[in-house]
Amino acid sequence: MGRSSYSGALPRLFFGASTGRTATMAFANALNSETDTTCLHEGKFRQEETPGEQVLSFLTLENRLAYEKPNAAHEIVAAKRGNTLQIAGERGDRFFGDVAYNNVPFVAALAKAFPDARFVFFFRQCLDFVRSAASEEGTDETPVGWPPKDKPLTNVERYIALGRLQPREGSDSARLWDSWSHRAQNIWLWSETNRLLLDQTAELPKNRFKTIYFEEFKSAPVATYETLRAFLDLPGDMQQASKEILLARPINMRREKPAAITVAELDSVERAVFEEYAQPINRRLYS
Amino acid sequence: MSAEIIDRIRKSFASVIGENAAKGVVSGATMEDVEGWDSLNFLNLVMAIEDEFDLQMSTLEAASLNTVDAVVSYVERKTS
Repeated sequence: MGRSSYSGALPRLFFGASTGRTATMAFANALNSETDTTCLHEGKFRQEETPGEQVLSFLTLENRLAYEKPNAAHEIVAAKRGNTLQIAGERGDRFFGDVAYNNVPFVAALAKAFPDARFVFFFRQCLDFVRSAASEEGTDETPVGWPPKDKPLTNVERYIALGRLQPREGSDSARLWDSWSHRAQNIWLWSETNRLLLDQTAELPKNRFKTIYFEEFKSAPVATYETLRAFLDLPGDMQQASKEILLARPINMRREKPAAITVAELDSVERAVFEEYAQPINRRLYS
Repeated sequence: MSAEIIDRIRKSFASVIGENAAKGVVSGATMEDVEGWDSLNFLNLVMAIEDEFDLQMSTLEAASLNTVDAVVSYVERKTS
């Protein structure tokens, strides 16, 4: 890897977006070991798995509001992310980014507000996401997906659920929503989140976004990360610390590893949801 | 913006986050400006507002209440 080709006067901004459970914290931690680089995770600057300092405002509730009312996304970005370049400058960063599930409904607004920013979209196979999306029992420290219906939730879990995407009021899926199992709801969540991201790949110039597949990262973490460094124009060679982070035990891995789910194990409703919502996205992602 | 409504909202907040922190409940304030208006207390605050104004919020309505002005507008709309 040679010198950076990025020579802009302002810090290079980048935003990552995904369903969650796509190794984004590992990428953020690796990026944070680079020179003059900060990568926030959900607006926070974290070291390993610590709660960290909230640098950019949280967008927990705004996530759903922007999904319901896409025009509101521009106002929210202006109010909550308008100071991003200033913050990056104050930190002395040349490269500054935030990876978060709640960036998904804001990609178009962020791209417009920051015309030089780059975007990284992280994808993971549907049923692999579904099995990992929610803890079956106990407090969920990373509650990205819909929990089992009868599971007691903490206030924080319930708060995060308020901002989680669910079908728009009046839609067919909204009418059926309460009758779906949490697995069916998470199949829908995966499908809709990735549909939003894929739609953005059709809108953005090719040099402004990169896609990373979780499966690719899992089999070759260092090589996959190297492609991200190249995309962001990070200077010099990869830091040893970055390699160690990428090769260490997966960050945020659930204590109890849920068993893999296959299509054959889905009940009839889950399978119908999978066919209707996930399969069209699978074809766009993996064909 | 009704002073009476904002006083009652402040009272609801005070029952959850304490009177001192609830002094920050003023027009223009956001979740980040009011100490204790966070993910831990959010649902208790929603329930306190529901009780105070005898309202039932939908999930989406609750999710939109992230500024004092949004709470006031919501209450005004629902009680007018």
